[in-house]
Amino acid sequence: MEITLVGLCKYFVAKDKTVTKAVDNMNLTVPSGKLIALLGPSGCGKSTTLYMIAGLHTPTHGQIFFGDDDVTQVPPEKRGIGLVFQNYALYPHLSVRQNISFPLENERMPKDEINKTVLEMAKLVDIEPYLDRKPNELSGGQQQRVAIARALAKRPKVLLLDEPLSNLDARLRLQTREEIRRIQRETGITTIFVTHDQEEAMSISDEIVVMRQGVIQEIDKPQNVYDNPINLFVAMFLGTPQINVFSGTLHKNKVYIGGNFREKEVVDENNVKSIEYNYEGGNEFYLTDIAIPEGKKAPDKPEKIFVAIRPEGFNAEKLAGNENSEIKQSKEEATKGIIKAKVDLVETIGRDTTLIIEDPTAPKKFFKAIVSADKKIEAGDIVELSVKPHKMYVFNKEGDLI
Amino acid sequence: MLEGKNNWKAWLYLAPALILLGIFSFYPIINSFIIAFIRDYHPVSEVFRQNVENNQALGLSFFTFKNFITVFKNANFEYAIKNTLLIALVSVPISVILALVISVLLISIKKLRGFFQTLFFLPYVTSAMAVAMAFTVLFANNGTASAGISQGPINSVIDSIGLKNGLTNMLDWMNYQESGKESWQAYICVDSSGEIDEDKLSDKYQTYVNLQTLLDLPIEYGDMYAYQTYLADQTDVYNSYRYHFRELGYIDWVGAQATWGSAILVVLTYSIWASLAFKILVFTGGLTSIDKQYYDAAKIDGTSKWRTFWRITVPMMSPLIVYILITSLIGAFKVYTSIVGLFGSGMGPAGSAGLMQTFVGLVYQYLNEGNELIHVGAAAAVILFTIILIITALTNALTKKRVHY
Ligand SMILES: Nc1ncnc2c1ncn2[C@@H]1O[C@H](COP(=O)(O)OP(=O)(O)OP(=O)(O)O)[C@@H](O)[C@H]1O
Ligand SMILES: [Mg+2]
Repeated sequence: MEITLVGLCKYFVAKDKTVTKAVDNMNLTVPSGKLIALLGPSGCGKSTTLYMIAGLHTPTHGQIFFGDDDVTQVPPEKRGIGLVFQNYALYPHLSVRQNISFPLENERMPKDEINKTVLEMAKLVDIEPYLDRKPNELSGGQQQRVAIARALAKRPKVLLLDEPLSNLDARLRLQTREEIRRIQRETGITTIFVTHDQEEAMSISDEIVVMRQGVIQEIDKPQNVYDNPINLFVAMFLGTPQINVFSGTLHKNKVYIGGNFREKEVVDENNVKSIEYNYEGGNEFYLTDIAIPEGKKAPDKPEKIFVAIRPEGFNAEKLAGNENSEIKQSKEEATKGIIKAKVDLVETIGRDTTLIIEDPTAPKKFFKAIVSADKKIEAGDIVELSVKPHKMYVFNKEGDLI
Repeated sequence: MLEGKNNWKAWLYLAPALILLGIFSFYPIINSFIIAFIRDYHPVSEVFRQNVENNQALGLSFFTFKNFITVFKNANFEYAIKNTLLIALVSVPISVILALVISVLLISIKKLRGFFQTLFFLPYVTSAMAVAMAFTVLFANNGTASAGISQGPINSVIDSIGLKNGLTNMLDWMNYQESGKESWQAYICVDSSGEIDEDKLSDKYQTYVNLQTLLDLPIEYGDMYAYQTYLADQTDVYNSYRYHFRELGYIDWVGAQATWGSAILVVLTYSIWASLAFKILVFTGGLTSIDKQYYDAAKIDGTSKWRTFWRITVPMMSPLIVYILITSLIGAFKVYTSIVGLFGSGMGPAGSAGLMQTFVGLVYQYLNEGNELIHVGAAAAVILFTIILIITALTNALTKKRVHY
């Protein structure tokens, strides 16, 4: 079942008449049989979107289509959806079996058929031994799976999951999300998965929808969103450790970090006045040439920008020297995009090492680089860093990709 | 930290409450249990103590069950038991269900919710006496219909929705159940001068007489015309038993002619209404604390309102419902003030005092008779205590399986 949202809006009006645009002009197509993740920080309108699709909230504007049917005004029970709530909402006084059969009893399904379905669902989510327990006698992960079983029992056309893993511990979360992926593949049910955890969204979904303050930022395959963030917000929201952001200057297709430009009025031989900008560097460096996409003009004036580099976007080599050695960076090196810096801290997690490096252009500011643990870099070492070009993104002051 | 050597601090802080409870609760409770078993106890002259002092050798001679026998033999003991049980076992379940339904409805409305909540809560902050007085006005019967005097609101409403006959018959049935007396009835049609008027054989002019008790006539129920003729011939009979004729149309609920049936109906109505307020307060509080997600989940699964109520709301509220049920039962067994408010300290309609006697009323009655019968009052209190204990234990046992904590 393909789900299409057209110009969907939900405005909440508070008592003092202030309007919260929880969801604003949302356009989205969820292909049939796919799992897509709604990703965004807390309060960005993910649950609101989900509840509108479920029919628990009425949209302020816009339409919702299931296939070709406009279901905007259809009550929840007629939409054929299964919803798993953020904290499961299992009925605490009913056993697991009764919880799963509850929606089926509403449909007046015959008894033996109910029993059959319950067993089938229990098998699917692997909770058969717990059928006669009460929800509070189950672990979080088991409750989670019961909630999914209950949602799937009436064979919905659409499965909606609202942050289903947020109450689980890290290991269980990993396990359950694989479980959800498996169940989704097995049933082939169109699924919308809400989460604020980018890693979860990346690992589980066919497509990611990144939201911010009720507005969709980017829709794409997880890797594409990660590789081609459309703006600084998306770049910063995806990836752990977070992407490193430097403020810099863009001038004539070159990116400068640190330093500044001095304006100088020059008069050429034809007596035409123009302004020349001279970079005044010191310890600063410029990184690399960037290609300005066609159709966009590189500004004549140096423009303040943000440079974002993924932690894994650095090549690092250990240099001879110790903690007290001066960092000497030649202008030549700087123009080649080579940065020399001191490693402040090192976190080794298995095969990778995260270097926490002091920003040479801004003392007391740090950035992170992930390198192979084989490099044996330690705190206090001086490293020479270069940047992998496709791991670097340049955004304008508004945060949009240049 | 309260354990161990700092324990004395806890006792110190509890001391004021404990001392007051000891003096005004624990001591009287224990004492009344003792007094209930003492022969001819006299608190002022201390006859009992003197007896003990003078007759050491008599041992347990002061011990007796006589006080209990006295209570059982009270002329109104049966009424006390019957009325108290009826009020507790009928009004409490009804008011619990009613309060639950009203609370669910209250929670589901958005507009005017505060207004209605206040409205339902008003009886709680109103004096029981004032409420009872208002009830006597509501249920007033201001004389005969033929005289055209305006009736109390309840009677007027009953009249206008055509429930007069039905209710009168129901009361007759209730009184029959209560007294066990065969109530052969015949309806006759008499106008104010005592003449039969067939044209007026309508509700408004029907009067009835309990012929068996009044006239001792072997007449079959429904054999109407026979009596009409009979009575019409004997105007003097009609006149001499005039007092026993009452207008079919208007029920004397709480007045001098009130019967057991009418009076108990008023008491039940009063008990239900007056106890709604607190229950609604507790239930609405409980309902708002139920996670809205359960209802969203039920809605998505297409659960009907009825099923949602029984399968979700009631089980989730069950601890609260049982709490309310038990406290209300205990409260209902102590019914007294409302009867005094409705009927005065005679504990019954003016014509038949003691008809609405209750158990606590019985206790008070003994206490009011000076110091002579305090031990009998204590015995009555012990009986009441035992009944409450049994009923509470039963309620607890019956509801245990259905409560989901
Ligand atoms: N019933 C409501 N009335 C008013 N404002 C609301 C209501 N529900 C949500 N909002 C507001 O709408 C915005 C989006 O809320 P929503 O619950 O969709 O966020 P979310 O993305 O699910 O966040 P989280 O990850 O914390 O669950 C928030 O700013 C919230 O305060
Ligand atoms: Mg949410």
